[in-house]
Amino acid sequence: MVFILQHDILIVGGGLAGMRAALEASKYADTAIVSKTHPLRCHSVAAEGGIAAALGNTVQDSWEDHMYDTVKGSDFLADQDAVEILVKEAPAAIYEFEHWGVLFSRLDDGRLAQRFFGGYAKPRVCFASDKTGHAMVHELYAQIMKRMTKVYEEWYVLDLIIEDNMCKGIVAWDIPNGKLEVIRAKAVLLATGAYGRVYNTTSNDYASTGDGLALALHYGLPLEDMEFVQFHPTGLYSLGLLVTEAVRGEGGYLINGKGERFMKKYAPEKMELAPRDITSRAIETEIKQGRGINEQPYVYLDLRHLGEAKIMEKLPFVREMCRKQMGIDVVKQPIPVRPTVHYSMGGVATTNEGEVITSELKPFSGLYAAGECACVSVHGANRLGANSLLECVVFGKRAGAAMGNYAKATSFAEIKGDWFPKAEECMRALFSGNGKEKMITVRTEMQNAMTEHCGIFREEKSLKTGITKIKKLQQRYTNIILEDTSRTFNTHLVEVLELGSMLTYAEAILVSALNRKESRGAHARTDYLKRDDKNWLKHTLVYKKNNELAIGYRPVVITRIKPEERKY
Amino acid sequence: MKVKLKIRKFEAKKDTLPSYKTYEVEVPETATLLDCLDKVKWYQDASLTYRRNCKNSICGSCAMNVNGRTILACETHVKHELTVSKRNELIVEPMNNMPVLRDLVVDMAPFWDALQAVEPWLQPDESKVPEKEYLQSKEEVHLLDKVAGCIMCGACFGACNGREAEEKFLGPAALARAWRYTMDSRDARQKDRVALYNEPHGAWDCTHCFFCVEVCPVNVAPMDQILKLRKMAMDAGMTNNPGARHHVGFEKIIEKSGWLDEVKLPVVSLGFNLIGQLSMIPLGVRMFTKGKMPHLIHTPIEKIKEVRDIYQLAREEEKQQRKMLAAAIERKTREKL
Repeated sequence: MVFILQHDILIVGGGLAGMRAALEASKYADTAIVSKTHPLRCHSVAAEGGIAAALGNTVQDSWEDHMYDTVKGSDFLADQDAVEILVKEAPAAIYEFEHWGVLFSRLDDGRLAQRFFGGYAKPRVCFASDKTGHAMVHELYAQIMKRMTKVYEEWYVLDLIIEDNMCKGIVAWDIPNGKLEVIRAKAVLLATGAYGRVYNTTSNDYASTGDGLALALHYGLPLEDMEFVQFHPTGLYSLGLLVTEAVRGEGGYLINGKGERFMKKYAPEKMELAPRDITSRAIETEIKQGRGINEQPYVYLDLRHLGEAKIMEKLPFVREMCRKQMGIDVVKQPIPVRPTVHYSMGGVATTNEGEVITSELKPFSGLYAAGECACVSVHGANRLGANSLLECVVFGKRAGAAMGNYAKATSFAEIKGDWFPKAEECMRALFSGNGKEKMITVRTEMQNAMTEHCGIFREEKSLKTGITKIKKLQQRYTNIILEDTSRTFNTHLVEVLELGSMLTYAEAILVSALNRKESRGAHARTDYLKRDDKNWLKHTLVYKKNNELAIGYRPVVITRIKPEERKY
Repeated sequence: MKVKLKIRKFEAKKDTLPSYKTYEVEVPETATLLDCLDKVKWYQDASLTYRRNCKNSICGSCAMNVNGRTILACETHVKHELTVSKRNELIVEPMNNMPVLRDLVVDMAPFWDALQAVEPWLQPDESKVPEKEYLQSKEEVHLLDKVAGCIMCGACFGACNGREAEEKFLGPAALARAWRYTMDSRDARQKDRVALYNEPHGAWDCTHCFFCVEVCPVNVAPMDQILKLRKMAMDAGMTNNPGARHHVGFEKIIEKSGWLDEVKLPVVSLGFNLIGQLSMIPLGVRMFTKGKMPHLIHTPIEKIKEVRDIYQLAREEEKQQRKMLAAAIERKTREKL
C-alpha cells in the first residue's frame, strides 16, 4: 500500500492542548494537526475566566499552596505527582503565552493581574478580561501559522490504525471533499476535548462529542474516572451557556427565591467561591426544595453591586452575552442560572508524559492523549476553575515533547491490514444503507437518558435504567439512516458519526458511576452519601473486554497531602 | 412563533446555479437564527449545510447573510430580525467574497491566506525577552484588546467592498489584526510592519465604505484600524504610493480651492507614472462624451479663507495632541525610572 499522506506525528484535535502539543512536537519531527473544525473554532476559545498559576503577583503564593488547593478541590482523588508537575510548570507556561502576545489583564504596575476563583485560598487566576481562552487560542494559533504547521482542517478522524499493539496512523474523512484518507504516523495524539453533548444541557459547543474517547474504548484501552462529570454551577438558564466563575471571583452573589445568599448553608467560609461540585449541588438542592426564583428551576446570579465600571473592565463578555442571548443587562438585572454540564474530569488514561496506558497500566506504543479528553489525573473527582486551560498547555507541551522523542527514535511501521478498503466499505454501507432510525431521535433520547439518569445526583436503580436505555439506543444506532448522501461538506454525516462515538462511551460513564459506591467530588450518590476512602480512594478504569465493559482500578498517587475531610 | 426561511441552496460540485428553498419552522419567540437552522436540519432537511459551533459569539463559525446583511446566526434573534426588516420571511444566504462550497458554507481559504500575509504573530526582540512577563500598562491592554478580540468569523471580509473590487486586497480582519501587533509594545518590528501593510493591496485598498465596522459582531471596527495604519505609514514618510498621494493631493487641493478638483486629483494620485497617466485618457474621453467632464479651470470658492482657517485649527489641534502625548510618555518613563 502506498501512503500519499504521512507525518511523523499526528495530532487529532486542534484545540489548546492539541495545538500546544503540535507546536512542541514540531520542534522534533514533522507534525500535522487533523481537526474536525478549524483550530480557531475549537471549544477552548469559549473558556472565559482564566488560567491558574502561583505567580504571587498580588499576595505571597507558592506552588505548594496551588497544589494543596487543587488536591483538596479534587476530593483527594487527583494524582499528586501529576498535580505537582501541573502547578510547578504553571508560571513558565503563563509567561510563555504572555511572550507570544496574549493580552492578559494587568495590575497598575504592568505585571499580570490575578483574581480569585472557586476553591482557591489566594487570588491565583491570570486572565484576559473574560475571554482568556479566546486570547490564548488566537496567540497559539498565531505560532502555528508562524511555523506553518500543516493543519488538515475539517477532517473527521474515523479510526485509529492499530496493529501489533501499536498505533500506526489514522483513517480520516475529508469533510469538504467527502473523501477517505489514510495518514500514516509514528505517533498519534488524541486531543479531542470535551463530551458535554452527550447531555441535553451543556456549556459545551456542538463539536464536544468526545470522539477520541470512543476511539480508545473501541481498541480496548481504558477510560479513567468517567463517573466524574462536572456541572458548572452557573449555566445561563435555560440555554446552558457558560456564565464564568469569574463573576463570583469578582464578587457576584448567588440568590434564591427567598432573596437569601444561600451558599452560607453549604460553604459558610468560601460562600459563592466554593468549588463547583459543592456549589452546583447547593443550587440544585435549593431548586428541589422549592426555593428557586418563583419556584422555577433556576436561581439568580447577581452582580449589580459590582457596578458598571468593574463589570466593563473585568467581565465585558458576560454582559454582552447576557444582552445578546437573553436581553438582560447585568448592570441592572440579576442573571437566571442553573448548573450545566461543563467538563469531564475523566478521559483516556495516560501517564504524566501523555502516553495512553492499557488496562494492565502499561504504556501503549505510539498513542498519546492530552487535554480534556485525557485523564492524567490532575483534577481527580472535581476540577477547580482555571486549572483546565493550564492542564491543556502544560500536558499538551509534555505530550508533544514525549512524542517528538519517540518519533525521532523510531521508524515508520509497516501497515499490514486493509484499512482503506475496510473503511471504504463501511462508508459505502452507510451511504447506501436503508436504515430506519433517525439521528435526531436517537440522539435526543440518549441526551435525555444521560441527563435523567446520570445528572448531579445519582442512585443505583436510576443508573441501571440508564444503562438499559443506552444499550437499546446502541442497538438502534446500528439501523441508522443517513439522510443526506452528498459527498460535499456533509455535516449530517458528521453528526451521525459523532452520535456513534457518544453512544459508545455514554455507557462507560453510566457503568463507572454505578460502580463507584460512594460520594466524592462531582459524583454524588444519594444511596451512598459519604466519601469512603477505605474502599474507594482509587481511580476507576473502564474498558472493553469481549465486547462488554469491564472495570479495573488504578491506584491514586499520594505524595505530600494526606486525605482529610473537605470543608469550605 | 412560525418563522419562514428562504435559504439559498447550492452544491459546488453538482449545481451550476443556486436555488432558493423555503422552510417554515415553529420556534419559541426567543429563538436565534441558528435555532431555526438546526430545526430545519434535524427535522425537515438534513441536507441543509452550515457551520456552527459555540452558540455564543466567540468561535466565529456561523457568519452568513440575512436579508443581505452579514451576521452571526447564533446571536441573531429571528423575532427582532423580522420586526426591523418588516418582512415576513428571512432570506438566508452565504457570505460574499468567498467561493461557496455548499449552501451557507464558504471556502474561507482566501480569508486565511490574507491573514497569513500580515504575519499575525508577535515578533519581539528575541534578545530582550524578560524572564517573567513583559510590563504592559492597563491603558495599552485596553487600547488593543477590543481589536485583538476579533473572532475571525469573516463577516467583514464577506461584506468588504474593497475586496469585491480587488481580490488581492488583504481585507479588514487581517489588517485590523496587523494594527494590533504593530501597536503592541512587546513587538519589535513596528517599522517593518508599517512598510509591509503599506504595500499594494494593503491598507490603501480600503474604500471607507464602513461595512466592516457595521457588520463586525465584536466591535473590532476594522476600518478604523486600517486608517490608523495609513496614518502611521504617512507619519513615517511612506507617501510614495497612489493611496498616500491621493490623500495628500486631496488635502492640498481643498486647502487651495475649498472644493475638489476632480481633474487634478487622479493625476496627483497616480504620480510620476506615464502609463498610468495615459490610461486616464479613455476615461476622460468617455466622460467628455457623456457630458460629465468636470471644468478644466478650477477656481477657489468665495469663502476660501474660512476653509484655510479650519485647516489651521486642525493643524494646531494635532500639534497640541502630539505635545500632550509626548509629555505623557515622558512622565510614564520617568515614573518607571
